[in-house]
Amino acid sequence: MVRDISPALRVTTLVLAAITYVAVEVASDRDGIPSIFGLTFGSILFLIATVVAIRVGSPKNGQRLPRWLSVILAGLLVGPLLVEPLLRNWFHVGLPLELQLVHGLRNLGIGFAALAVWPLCLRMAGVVALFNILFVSAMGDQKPIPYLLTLWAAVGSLWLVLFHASQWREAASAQDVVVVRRAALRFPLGPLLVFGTLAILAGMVALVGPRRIQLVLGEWLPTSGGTGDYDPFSRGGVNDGDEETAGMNAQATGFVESDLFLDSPDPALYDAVSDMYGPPKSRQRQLERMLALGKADVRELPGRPPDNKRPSRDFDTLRQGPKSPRKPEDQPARSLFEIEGRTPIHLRVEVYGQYEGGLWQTAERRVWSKRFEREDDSSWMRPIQRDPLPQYGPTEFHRLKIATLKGALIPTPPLLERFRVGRLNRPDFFVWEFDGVLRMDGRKTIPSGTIISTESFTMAGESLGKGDFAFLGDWVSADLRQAPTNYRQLAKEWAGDRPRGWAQIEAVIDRLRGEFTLDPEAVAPDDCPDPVWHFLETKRGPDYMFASATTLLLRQLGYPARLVLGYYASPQSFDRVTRHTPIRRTDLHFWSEVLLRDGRWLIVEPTPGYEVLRPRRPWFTTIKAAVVASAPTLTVLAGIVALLWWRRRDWLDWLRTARFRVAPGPTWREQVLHCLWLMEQRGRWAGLGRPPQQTLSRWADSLPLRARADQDWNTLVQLGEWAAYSDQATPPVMPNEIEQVCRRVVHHWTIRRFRKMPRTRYGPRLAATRTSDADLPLERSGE
Amino acid sequence: MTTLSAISPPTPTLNSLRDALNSALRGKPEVVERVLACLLARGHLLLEDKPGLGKTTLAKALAAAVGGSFARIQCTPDLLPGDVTGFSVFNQQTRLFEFQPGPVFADILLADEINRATPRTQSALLEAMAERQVTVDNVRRPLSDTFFVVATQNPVEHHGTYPLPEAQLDRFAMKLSVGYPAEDDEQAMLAAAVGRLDGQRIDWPTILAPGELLQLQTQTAAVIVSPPLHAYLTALAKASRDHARVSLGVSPRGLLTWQRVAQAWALLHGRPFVTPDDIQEVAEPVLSVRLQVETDIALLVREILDSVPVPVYPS
Repeated sequence: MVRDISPALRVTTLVLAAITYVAVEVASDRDGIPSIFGLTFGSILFLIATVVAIRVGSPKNGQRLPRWLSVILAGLLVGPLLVEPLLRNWFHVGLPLELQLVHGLRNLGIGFAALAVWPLCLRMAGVVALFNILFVSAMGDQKPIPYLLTLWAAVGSLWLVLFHASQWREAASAQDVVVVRRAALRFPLGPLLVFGTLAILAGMVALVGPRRIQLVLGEWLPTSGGTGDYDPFSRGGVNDGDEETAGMNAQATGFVESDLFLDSPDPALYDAVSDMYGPPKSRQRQLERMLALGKADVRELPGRPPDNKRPSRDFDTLRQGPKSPRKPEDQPARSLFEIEGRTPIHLRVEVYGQYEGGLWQTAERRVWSKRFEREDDSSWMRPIQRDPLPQYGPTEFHRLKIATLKGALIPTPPLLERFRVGRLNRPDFFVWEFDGVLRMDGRKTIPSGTIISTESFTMAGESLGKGDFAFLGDWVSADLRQAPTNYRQLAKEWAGDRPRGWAQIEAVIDRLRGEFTLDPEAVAPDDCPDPVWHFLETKRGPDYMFASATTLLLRQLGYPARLVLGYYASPQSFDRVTRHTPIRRTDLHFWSEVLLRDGRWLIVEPTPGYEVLRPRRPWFTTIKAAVVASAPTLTVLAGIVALLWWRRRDWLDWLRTARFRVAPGPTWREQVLHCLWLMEQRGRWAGLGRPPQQTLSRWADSLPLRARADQDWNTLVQLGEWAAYSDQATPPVMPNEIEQVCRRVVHHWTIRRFRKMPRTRYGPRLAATRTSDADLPLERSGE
Repeated sequence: MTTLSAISPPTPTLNSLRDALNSALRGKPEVVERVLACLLARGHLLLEDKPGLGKTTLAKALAAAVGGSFARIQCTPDLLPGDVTGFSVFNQQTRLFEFQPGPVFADILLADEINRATPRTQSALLEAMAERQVTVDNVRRPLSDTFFVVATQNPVEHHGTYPLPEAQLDRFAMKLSVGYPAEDDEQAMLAAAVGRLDGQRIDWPTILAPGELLQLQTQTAAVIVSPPLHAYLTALAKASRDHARVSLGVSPRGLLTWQRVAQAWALLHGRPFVTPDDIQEVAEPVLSVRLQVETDIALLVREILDSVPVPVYPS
């Protein structure tokens, strides 16, 4: 005797499942903040589960869980696996495989809790909740986890008490009723299957070898390491993600957010600059007479000193151009570093302020007494700066994964709000190399494998007003105001009568992007006194010319501007496999920046083909753009789906007919019923289906005369009654004749034939006497 | 398990029986079919119709066809139970009480206008109909093995009548209405009556040999009813009990009767097993004697049948 599950126990099961859901959701996020999607889905799921739990009645004695509910439970389990590709493709978010599985179990737990009226579901809800919470306790280190575990333990204890109380009541009541069930003698199919599987596995181990089996089994577990597959959303597995296991040797391990740093003897950024743009030309006119020093003041070097050892790190716009075509595949490494996050993005490395005679001099270094402040107990550092302008868009999160980057400069995105380098939690580890360019203090290099997380504002220039730009006041360095006077007339000409603000800047940008050509090979002649002016005349040059011209022209228009060297992460470089953007040496780029009222620098990108990261569009705009972008594919898919839907009955009927032809059924009874079912489906699709309250013969009689006159058809209907309602093992006619009749009916009574039948109303239910079975046209096998 | 050969339907015999009754009651083959089903199911029949529609003729022809004795009781308020069951009379010669059997000991008993008898007399028929025996003077006396009651009642006149209690109604297998014949059948009837004296006895043919009816009834009981149809019958019974317009649904005894009548219907149509058609065909006459409703019984039965899906495929 099975007692009803008490409402208190069912409610507790639901609450337990809900807590488990939240705990898994919290543990799934790095920062312990459940995703909006997860919470929304969970709320809907919980709501549905509550409604189901209220509406579903207690099962009758011995009633098993309906099969369709099992299908829904299976759907809850595999749902996250099915949705994952869509989330990754459409929203660029995802979960590692093990978390997908745990999420499936989490959903399954709620499903079981909703169906806790079945004792099996009740027990399974408890088991699944326990498994999930063990996972959370083992894997989650977020702040809310201990509180959730405590809450779960309390509710779980209550659940156990209620569960055992119900068991005790059931046992007590069962003493009154003694049910003796005869053990059914069945073929032990299940144990045989298990035994057979184990035997096959043992054979495989014997053939292939245990070591090989171990490796294969290991590959089934993504976090066990060594699978060889790459999943950008994996966490913590060797070779399985962007963050890999930390080790003592930072060069030998993958990316890791740790405070493990090693010095590297690799050359600095300036070799890369020379490689990219060619070494600077010697300036004859700048040679000055030099006095020989004494031997004590001279230190001999074995060879020519590298560029980075030069006393000045200024940038000379008079350069020779690259010596040889540069190909990415010539690079020894894939990239200097990789960026995870939205692109395009500019990353500053070097800033130039004063321009004189074609020579950009590095900007002055700025030092604050307190440069950064640390956020709470985390390793996030927040620069001390003025409040941001209200026009800024939402922040963007990027992660820079250092591969072979040289030097201690940290590629810094514009409008930086906060950053984190591994788990370094001391603000004095960082300094401003320039205004807006970070550097690790006291270090020569950033070790490979370091992950730098940044959060920076996005900005749409056209949203800025006139007063949002800084003026060339006293607080602005003189370097940022300095520009040759011969640029003034040109700047005013280009700006025209546009009002001060973004409109003037846009005018300069539009002119350069529209009328000038990007040509990395174009260099100024050796005797050119001002290469930038030469560029403005020839309207052809590399990107630093575009940036230089913009900077100088904007200065003449009254905007504090500067030239910036850095890396440009192009969306075209995005690697869809790794979902990262690799940054190579060839991604070095120059651009210009304008100082805003809050002390931050706004990127001005004058070079054709380069864009600035704009605020993220709303999700519906993103979806709309994605739909528009994939319109041809979607159209074809929609066409295929529409075609399949339109002809769904035909191809479903074709499949069912093929199934009948291949396997009509092992016995005559199943063959007949299979054939009848097929006919009923065809009739239903043709609008002549059998209502569930109608008998077979009535349905057959209700069909048009053409069907009733068909001998095979009538025989099939009568055979159907024999098959359905007679428990005789012996068929009424010879079995081979039955099969022939079925095949003939399936062949002749196609769905098209049903469709061509005139629609008739069903006859009266209690109609006249039907045809006697004595008229069965086939010879009986028993006679 | 019953084999196909053992349940082979005696179609010729039944066809002859069917023809004989159809010749007695012209133009009513569906009524004849149901009367035969009731007979094969060993049930009792309640004919509710207006006078002069051939109820007595049908009963007489049936008694003649099955080769049994026929008795008739004209029920009136002064009819006593002893007039039905019989009574003991003192024999002056043997100095013993001798039992004089009543009409209930006939094979076919026609209780005409049964609702005019008093409840006391009506209840005297209860034991006879249910247990096929009567107890007189504390002595149990079995009735004929093929005892079959055909009771009639007039639906029009209600003055001086005693409506049958539900317990007694449940002992009838079905209730039928003969109805007026069609014009053609009436004309044929008139033509056949020309040249025949009024009240002249008609010799109806005897179709069945002695014991043959019992054999047919035994075969009826052996007709196969598959488990899905048991479930279908119980679902229909539940639907009748749950129906809003039904105060008293089908009882388990009524359900057994329904199954037996469906078995008889299957046998009448030459089938060794019952189909949902058989159950539906006999639903109205079986239910109409049990479901006490004011409105159209046919509509009610149809609603009940339409509320339960027919089992076809194994679940």
